[in-house]
Amino acid sequence: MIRTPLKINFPPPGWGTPARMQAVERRRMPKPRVGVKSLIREINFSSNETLPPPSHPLPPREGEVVVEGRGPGKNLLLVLLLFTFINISYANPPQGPNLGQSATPEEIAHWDISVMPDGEGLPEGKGTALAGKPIYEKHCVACHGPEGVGGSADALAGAKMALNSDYPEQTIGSYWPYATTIFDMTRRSMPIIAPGTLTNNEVYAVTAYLLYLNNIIGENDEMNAETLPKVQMPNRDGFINVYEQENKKK
Amino acid sequence: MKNDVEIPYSSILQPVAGNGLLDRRLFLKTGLTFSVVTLAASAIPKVFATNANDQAVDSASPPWMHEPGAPFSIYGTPSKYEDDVVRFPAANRDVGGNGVSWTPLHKLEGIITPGGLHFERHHNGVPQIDPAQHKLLIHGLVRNPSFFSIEDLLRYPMQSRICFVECGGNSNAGWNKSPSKSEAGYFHGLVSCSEWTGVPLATLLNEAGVTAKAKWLIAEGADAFAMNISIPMEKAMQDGMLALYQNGERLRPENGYPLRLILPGWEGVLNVKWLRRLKATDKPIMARNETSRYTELQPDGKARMFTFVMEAKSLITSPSANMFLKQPGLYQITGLAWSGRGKIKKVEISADGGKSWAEAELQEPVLSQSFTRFRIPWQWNGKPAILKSRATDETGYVQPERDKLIAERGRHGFFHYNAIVTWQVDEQGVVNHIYDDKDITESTDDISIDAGWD
Repeated sequence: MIRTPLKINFPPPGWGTPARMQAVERRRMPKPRVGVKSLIREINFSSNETLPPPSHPLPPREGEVVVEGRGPGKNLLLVLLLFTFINISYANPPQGPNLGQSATPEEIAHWDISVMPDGEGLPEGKGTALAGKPIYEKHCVACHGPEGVGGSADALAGAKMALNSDYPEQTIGSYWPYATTIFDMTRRSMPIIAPGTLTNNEVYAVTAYLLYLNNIIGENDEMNAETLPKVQMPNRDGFINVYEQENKKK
Repeated sequence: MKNDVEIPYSSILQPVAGNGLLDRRLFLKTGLTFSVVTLAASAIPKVFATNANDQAVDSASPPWMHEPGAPFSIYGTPSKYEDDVVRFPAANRDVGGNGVSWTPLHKLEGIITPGGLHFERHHNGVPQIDPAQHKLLIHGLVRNPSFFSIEDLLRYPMQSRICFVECGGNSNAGWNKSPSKSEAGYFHGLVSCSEWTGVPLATLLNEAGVTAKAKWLIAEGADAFAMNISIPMEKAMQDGMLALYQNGERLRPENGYPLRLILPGWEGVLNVKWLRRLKATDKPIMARNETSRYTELQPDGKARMFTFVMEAKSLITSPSANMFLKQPGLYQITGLAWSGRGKIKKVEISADGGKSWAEAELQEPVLSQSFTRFRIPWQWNGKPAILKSRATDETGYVQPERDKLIAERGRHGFFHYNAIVTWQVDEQGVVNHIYDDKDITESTDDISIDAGWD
């Protein structure tokens, strides 16, 4: 039986280049270099395997709130008192065997790479746009284009068309509400061929460069754990929290 | 091709809506056979070969009845004649692991998507995770920050539920000014439905001792993107699941092996795959995928954010785009409906472009936040027809027409496109995707509205 090959429509729906970019003469980008540095974000999976198992002979009963030490009944009065003002009104899930291995503050610090919009979680380090430019041109330009424009990945800068126009351009400068998001994403996800390989100073510097490309900070403004969360993003108030709105209606 | 075929019983049946829609119980009552819609006509060959004794080997006596079949296998695969039932992948040109693959909904029946055909959306490839080295850390605003190994989690009490997972960006080609020419699944197939089995998230969160201040849960994957996103604690506690199994077997790598989140009815990006960390916080992290992406730009320049629920949607999977009706006669129109807010209450079908509607039969089981299969018989008279399906869920929400959705949301939201899908059957029996709103007459360009999935 002769079978026809699968018909491929390429590019597929919704997968294309924005119309505005089709007019842009694309420059050929150099291919990114692979594996230039060793991973600095090592994850020690076995670090707590020698810890003794938690000792709690009885799992908490349904509806009981466990306070400390993970065992019920030790401080029943405190438990009952707490229960009166801690609002935990969850459906009754099945009781688990309580097999969790306690995580130490050191282990948590090693795992936790979350950076919050108020700056919580930002590490030590610093960088300026001037220092960030060569890092961007080494690790980022292949996908994001020179000065954040014209690559295959997200356009990061250079928005000319307004968000309420027929061809809105959603870049860091025109769209992103928080500067901390740049740091959080760059450190965890970028560069895409070797994520997690930039030092904190390098991430601060690239973040500064991207803010500078969007005319948000100057080329010598230092970004660090103090200054980055204070950067006022132009579209900070451009979002409607739909989840919150729906909850209010309820 | 247009020879009239005698259809027993149909002449005595009264249509229930315009252009040949028949009572949905027809098939149940009479057990009539009906035409099979095909992508390409393939006649059954009359003679395959001759065997050693020169006896005719034909369809009454095919070759596989004259030789032993294949031996047993340790893991079954589909028939080689079904090799076009495949996902349709498309990725960033520079980063092969950043993209999507669509489920071929138009080739499937029932409500369960086979594991190997579940849609994919990866940000930087599929990690090959050794379960012995994988751990889940629950920390933040909890009294007992803890690690859980996969071995530990497998000992926890589990629950199963059937639900769909739909990418927030599914069907985004619908925003384009000219209709997509892709098959139904390669347009709308960033949604799949599975039976998921795992540990209720609330069980572990209660063990961890979530404090009263904790309103959000920041989930993080162990992929090369370390994908992170914020989930309201209320939803996590209500029906969040730490899934270990999909359709009875352990998760496939591309579906999050060894551990993923399932948040029934909520957009796919929140159902974090390869889950490694849950941090309880008092506010969302404002990650890239809840600010720069997975937010919907509106015509006034403001953007909708935290639009978690996937609203009711339906589409006819057969007949659908690029299929071919061989001849007039009786066909079964079938398709899928689903809603992130609960059960599907009804699906209405029109064969005359929305002038009249008839209610389709909903195939049991009809489950909350799950695919629901619908069916209705249709007598095609060989003339052009315009098919639509319209879902209503148990909250009363009705799937909108395309022009209404665009009037409300504009064209640049990219995510959460759930408008009614329109298929046109022409006189030759070829099925095309069309718009029957004003875009048909007003649009002259062929503009793709937005970029892909970077």
